[in-house]
Amino acid sequence: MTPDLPRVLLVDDNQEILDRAAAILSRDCTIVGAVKDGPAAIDATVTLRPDLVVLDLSMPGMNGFEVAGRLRAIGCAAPIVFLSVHGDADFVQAATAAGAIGYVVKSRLATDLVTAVTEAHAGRPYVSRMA
Amino acid sequence: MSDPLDEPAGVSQYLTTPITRREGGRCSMRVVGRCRMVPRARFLAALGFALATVASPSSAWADERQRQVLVMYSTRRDAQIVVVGDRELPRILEGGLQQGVDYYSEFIDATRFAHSDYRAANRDFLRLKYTQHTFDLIIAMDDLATELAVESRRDLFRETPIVFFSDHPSPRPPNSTGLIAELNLGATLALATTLQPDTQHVFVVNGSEDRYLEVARRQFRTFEPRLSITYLTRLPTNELEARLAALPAHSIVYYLIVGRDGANENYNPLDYLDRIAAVSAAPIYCWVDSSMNHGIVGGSLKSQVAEIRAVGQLAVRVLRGERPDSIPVSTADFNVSQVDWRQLRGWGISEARVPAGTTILFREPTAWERYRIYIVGATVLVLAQAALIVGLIVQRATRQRAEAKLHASQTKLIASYDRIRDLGRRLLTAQEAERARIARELHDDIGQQMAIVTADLELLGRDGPARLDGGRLVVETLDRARLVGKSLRAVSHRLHPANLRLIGLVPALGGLQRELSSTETRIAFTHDDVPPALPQDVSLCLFRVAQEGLQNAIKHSGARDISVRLRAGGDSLVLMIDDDGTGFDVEAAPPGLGLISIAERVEQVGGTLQVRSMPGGGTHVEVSVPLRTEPSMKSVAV
Repeated sequence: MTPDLPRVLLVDDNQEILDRAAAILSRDCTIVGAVKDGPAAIDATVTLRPDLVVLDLSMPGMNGFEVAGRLRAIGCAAPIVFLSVHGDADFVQAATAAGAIGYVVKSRLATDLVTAVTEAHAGRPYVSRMA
Repeated sequence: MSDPLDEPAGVSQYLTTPITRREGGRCSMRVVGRCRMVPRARFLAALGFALATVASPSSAWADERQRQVLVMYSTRRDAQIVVVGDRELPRILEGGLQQGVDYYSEFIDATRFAHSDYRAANRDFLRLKYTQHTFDLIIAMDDLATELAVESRRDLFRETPIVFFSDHPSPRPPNSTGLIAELNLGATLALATTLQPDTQHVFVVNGSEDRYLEVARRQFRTFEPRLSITYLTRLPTNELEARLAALPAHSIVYYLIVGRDGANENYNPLDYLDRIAAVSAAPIYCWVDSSMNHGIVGGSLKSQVAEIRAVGQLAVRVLRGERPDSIPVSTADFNVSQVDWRQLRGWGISEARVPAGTTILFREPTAWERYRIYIVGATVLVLAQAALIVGLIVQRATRQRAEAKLHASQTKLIASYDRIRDLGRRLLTAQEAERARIARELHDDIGQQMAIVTADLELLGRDGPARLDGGRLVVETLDRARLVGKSLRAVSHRLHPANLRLIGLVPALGGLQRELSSTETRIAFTHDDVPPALPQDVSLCLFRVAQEGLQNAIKHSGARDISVRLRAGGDSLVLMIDDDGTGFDVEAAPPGLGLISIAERVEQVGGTLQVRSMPGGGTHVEVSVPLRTEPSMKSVAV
């Protein structure tokens, strides 16, 4: 892997999504970690210091919004891209308010995730087209 | 003395035996014969006297010889003073001497034997009768008796000591002692005017006797001229009765004594008093206590018992050996104030006027005094019975109330049980209907779509994209898969709104507004100052209220405009849903399941629910829940 590829942390409670996302991003990013809940995500962020966090919105225990809030609270400034099955504008708005820069609907994972991560890494927002 | 009132209508006279009276002439013959016996009697008497004088008084007292006592009364033998004296004196004497006494009594009936020889006859009679007796003491009641005793000393009671009684100051014979209680007739008049202050006339009734009349005239003088005093003396009885029956107002009658009336008829003075009391138009007063219970109101009355006792005590001293001359003659007052309660009542004289120290006799106990125990007992019984009845009534009322309450609560319980059963049935039905709907949706929509996706993928797997329309099939399958995902999210959302949990109440309500708005129904949603972080139960409660309210408004009331307002104010969060639909009668309509579940949810978060509606007037639903923010939710702030 080349050193200029963005270092990404993947957070989702579903292993298959984690595998898919890792596969989709493998060419354009360095996957530094893949964890399945909020506390693990916070620990991994502290230890691995990723350039970017791909964060599932709906998780048991802490949800994505809560994890984002905690990350910001502990001083993590890495861009956050949310993954969600929900395509409503309300969710997008809430995600933006929580500090996310990207929002990817899971049904468009294959097509949208690489773009969203690349844009986020470049400091630009990206939101999946709503169904 | 003063016992004239007591004289009865001549049963016998002064003599102890009728023989003496009938055989008066032969008596004198016997006198001569008896006279021969006299020297012996005198000797014995002299001997006794000598012994008595030689021996000391105590030795005389010590000897056991029976004492002989003669009592002489100045009245007829059935007079009240005699009755009292012959009853009391033997007792007093025997009690004082502590031995038996040989007791004799004689009577001088001067009223009925008014002739001049009566006195001498008495003397002779006594001499003949007692020539062989040696008396230790003579008791002389009043002047006539005293005079006779003294006169008889010449030949009969030579050495016998005398104890005398007199109602006026009188000389003391040798070898005697006595008691003087002066007549006080005026005291009765004083009492009478105290009891009857308006008295103006006093009518004094008297028969042929003069001695009380003289005293009365003298003593009553002090009451004149305040009182006009009329003396009705020596009148024939029928005339007296006529006078007494026609007395003027403010009169009283003072009864002195009538033993013989103006027609020379003899009477027992007390019987006579009864007779005039029956006709008198005015209250009668008297001066001696024997007249009580004979129709008089009362008076300052001489007590005959007290008089006899005092004389008896004096006699005992002499019989015990004291020399009579060494005992001074004493004076005494035996008057007692007495009134007859029945006469007070009868003449309307107030008991309050009775002076202190006056004895009220013959008081009839009042009904209260007589039947007090019965009255008290009956009252207690009645009260107890009444209390029992009241208690029973109260108990019955209490029981009836309790029964009514029990019945009401039973009815309520049954109704409540019925309602719960009905609710349970409806809940089951609703749950079943919801399950059926979800199953239908999963099967008819998602299931069908998935079947097509599966079939198309099988086709692609077998023939590959190289197939003629392979490219189109892939695109179609992809779209169909996305549609299935969307349908699943819709089902999931209906079951539980994910946005409520993830992004909060206001966005969730916004989603609801968009979801339920249509061309037929406009829904407006406004919110004001709603805190971003709310407890899950509060958010869910308000969301469900809004969901139920909106669905009701759309489905049941055909509303065209609905407004949903959420506002935080003070310590509470208020959700109001207003529609312009048909409305309903809140009181009459049984609450639907939706409303029941809303009420239940609101209650669980400590809130209140109001539903205001009327047919044709739309519906207003208002829920107010206490506002409490949850610190852990702050991080969820969006």
